[in-house]
Amino acid sequence: MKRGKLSPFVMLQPAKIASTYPKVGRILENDPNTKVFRYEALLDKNHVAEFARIVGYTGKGIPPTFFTFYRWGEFSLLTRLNIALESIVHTEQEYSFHHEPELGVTLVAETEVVQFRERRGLKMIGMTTKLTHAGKLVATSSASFLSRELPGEAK
Amino acid sequence: MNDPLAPMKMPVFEKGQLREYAAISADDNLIHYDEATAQQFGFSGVIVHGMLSMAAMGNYLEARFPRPQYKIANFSVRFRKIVYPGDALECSATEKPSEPGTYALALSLKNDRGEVVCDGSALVQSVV
Repeated sequence: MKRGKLSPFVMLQPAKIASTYPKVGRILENDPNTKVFRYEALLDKNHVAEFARIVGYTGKGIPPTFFTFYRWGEFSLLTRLNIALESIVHTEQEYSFHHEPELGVTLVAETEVVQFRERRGLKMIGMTTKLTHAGKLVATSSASFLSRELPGEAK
Repeated sequence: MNDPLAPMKMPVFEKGQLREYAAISADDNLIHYDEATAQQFGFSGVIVHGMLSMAAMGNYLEARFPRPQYKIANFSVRFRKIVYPGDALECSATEKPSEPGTYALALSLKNDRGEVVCDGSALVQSVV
């Protein structure tokens, strides 16, 4: 297939993600009857510094996309919704920043499914993640995904 | 920094960088660093994480509106095209009307074929 002509619907490989996504942190809420997943994880100074080096961020503070790391809830909820991860593509991402936390604190990430609709075989999924420290809102992440159930092999 | 809205050529993404990013960001998908898997999924080779392209746009924001003089209040991106390691990318911004001390930006990341691979917006505030 030529570059630029690719189907965007085969970008994530589920087995790989499911098996290796590092479940870093401690689960606080994971009731399968809800659309919410909540956990807490350390905002580690060395992790932030290494992330900044790899993405080429030379500014002060936490790189603006670092909170992508707090995404365990998104993967868990997609699985809970019976969405095959290989059918998923990340289409939009938004961050709102409210309060920059100190490094070394523990952040709570609460992810919720806020949109789930299906049209012509396409599923549109929207999730928001609220990051807090000691009850104070740090940042909000909104992610949109598209899922298409592929007949047979997702290739 | 003379012109906060001047476009900027971004460093190209290297394959080794994708592997490192997969590990550090917990987005550990073989499609980003294993050629055989990427080809199995129909790509010509490994592809760049969308969130890594967004990170490059974040670097642009930092270069144009550095902390601590400025802070980002909101940053959003739509992922439109596949990016491959080695693609030449340029980030640019246009300013929209906003309140004093606030920069409402429309952002664009283009490849050297003129395609918009990501676009989005940011709200940047000056810190007094």
